[in-house]
Amino acid sequence: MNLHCKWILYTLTAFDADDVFGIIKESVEGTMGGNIFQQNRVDQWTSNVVELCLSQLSKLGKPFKYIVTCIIMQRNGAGLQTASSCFWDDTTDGSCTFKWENESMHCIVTVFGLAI
Amino acid sequence: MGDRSGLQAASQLFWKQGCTMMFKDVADFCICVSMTRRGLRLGMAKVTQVDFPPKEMVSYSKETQTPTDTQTHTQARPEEEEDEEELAEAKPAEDSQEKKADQEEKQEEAPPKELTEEEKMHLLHSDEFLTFFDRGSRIVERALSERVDVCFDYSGRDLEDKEGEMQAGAKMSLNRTFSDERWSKNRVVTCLDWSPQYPELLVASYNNNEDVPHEPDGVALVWNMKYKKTTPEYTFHCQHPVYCVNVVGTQNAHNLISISTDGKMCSWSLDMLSQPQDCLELVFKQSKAVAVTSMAFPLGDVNNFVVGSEDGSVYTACRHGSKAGISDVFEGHHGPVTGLSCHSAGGPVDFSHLFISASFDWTVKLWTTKSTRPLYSFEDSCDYVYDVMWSPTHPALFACVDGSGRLDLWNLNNDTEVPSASVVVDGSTALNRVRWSHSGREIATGDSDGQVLVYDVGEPICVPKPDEWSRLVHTLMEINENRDEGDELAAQRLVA
Repeated sequence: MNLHCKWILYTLTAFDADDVFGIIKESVEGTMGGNIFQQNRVDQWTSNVVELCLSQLSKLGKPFKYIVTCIIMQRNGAGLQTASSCFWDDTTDGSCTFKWENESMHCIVTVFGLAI
Repeated sequence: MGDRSGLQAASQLFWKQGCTMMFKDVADFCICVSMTRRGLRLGMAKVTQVDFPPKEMVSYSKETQTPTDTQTHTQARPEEEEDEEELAEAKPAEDSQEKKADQEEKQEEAPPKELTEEEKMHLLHSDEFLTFFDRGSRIVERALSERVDVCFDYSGRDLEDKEGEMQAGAKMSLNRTFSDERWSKNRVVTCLDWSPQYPELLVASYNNNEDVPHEPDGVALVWNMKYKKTTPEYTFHCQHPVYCVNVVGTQNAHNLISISTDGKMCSWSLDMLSQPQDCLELVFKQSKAVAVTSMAFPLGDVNNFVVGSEDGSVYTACRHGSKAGISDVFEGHHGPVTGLSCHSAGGPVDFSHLFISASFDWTVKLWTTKSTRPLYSFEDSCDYVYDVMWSPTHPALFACVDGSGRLDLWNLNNDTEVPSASVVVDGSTALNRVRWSHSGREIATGDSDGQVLVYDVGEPICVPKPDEWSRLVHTLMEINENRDEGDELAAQRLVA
């Protein structure tokens, strides 16, 4: 079996931020697109987003451990600041943050992928 | 490749140099991959940040005044009640300050809660609330019916632009109508006068009511412009019809002058009204008694005066001195003279030699005491002109009323052919009297049906501009030139 590895290795083993970004975007928009912030439905949405992301990410088949966080905040005029950083192997590990909003809420989903 | 060490070496090579690798199978590949992991180099990643700035909320705090027994419900009051309480803030401040102090203490103890329907109804019907609401709504009602124009531009800039519009629109507008069912109905208004002391008071005299012979023949009513009530302030009766009165002189040395149709002029002292102080027979050229129908005194003059008579002539006369009695005759009218007015608007130029007369011959004539022929004749009316009066403030403005119910304002500086403003009263009843108020802003007219109507005159018309006096000098010169050129002496006297 002949494999041209350089590119394949890289793509197969490194964290692909664009791919992950697309996955998160689909999950979020599918779950919350067109909805208004409703206190009784928000927890449902957060878990839905996280589950969808994870299932899609695991389907990628890459040797990664994933951590997905989802924050939904109601737009009431309050401010929100978050920050995160990691201590990892820059070459193989990566993270992707997706910010989404509509008139009634903000949503921030972060995926950390740590190569096994 | 097969052995692990070989794979490991190869993977390191690969990662360092990025060279092409060939694997036997996928398993080898995966092992290679996993081995590369052993050479872990860990480092800090960049910080990922998310920042949503807070929204700027503009807020203000307002205090509401509530009675002490309903403090716990302060913040939970429904919208309408809060508005009403804000009205109540117009109340004396002392109350609110005490209550606020109490409120602040108690608010800390009892957090506000939503009122139930019964509690709201109870509050709405409580005595304290009702008194507050009653007082507050009355004050606001007064303020709301105030017709003050808060956007008025005193600098006059607005007026210059709008002068055209305003002249078209609001020249004269009916302000009030005074009529009393009992005393003024069916009586002709014979005389009107404004009080110099209280500008809102107006006295009107009436002659007899033919339908009710047992009622007094003469009635005088004092009307008040300030309040909206429709009844007169004071009512006076007398046995004889009142025609005309005039008070001349200063506050201390004054006389009441009355003239009747038998040619007798009497002056009365107000202290003793049973007998005149002195009488003067007005006879012209020692033979003809003058049947006086109207009289006027020039501004500031208590001795010389002018009278109009039934035969259409106007006479000047003196009360005292060697020349007491009739002096000159001014002929020009073709019918009885109904009204006379001497120029009274004081200003930089003295026009007190001017007077105007109204007559049954449908005209108003402008005269000067310096000439026995009229200066000008205003012939716009189609009915008997019953009364005429100069404006007390505007030197070139006078008003006249006629039998067709028309009230005309003439401005000599504007146009001498047609009136500058004209209005016909409702019902076209003949207007018998016209009187400017002392401010020169309102005109009172009396009609033959006992009604007194007060008109507001638009500002551009009745308020004189500073150049009106000099313009009037030119207007008079023009009028004079247009007159028969033969009277050179009179023209010279006018200009001087």
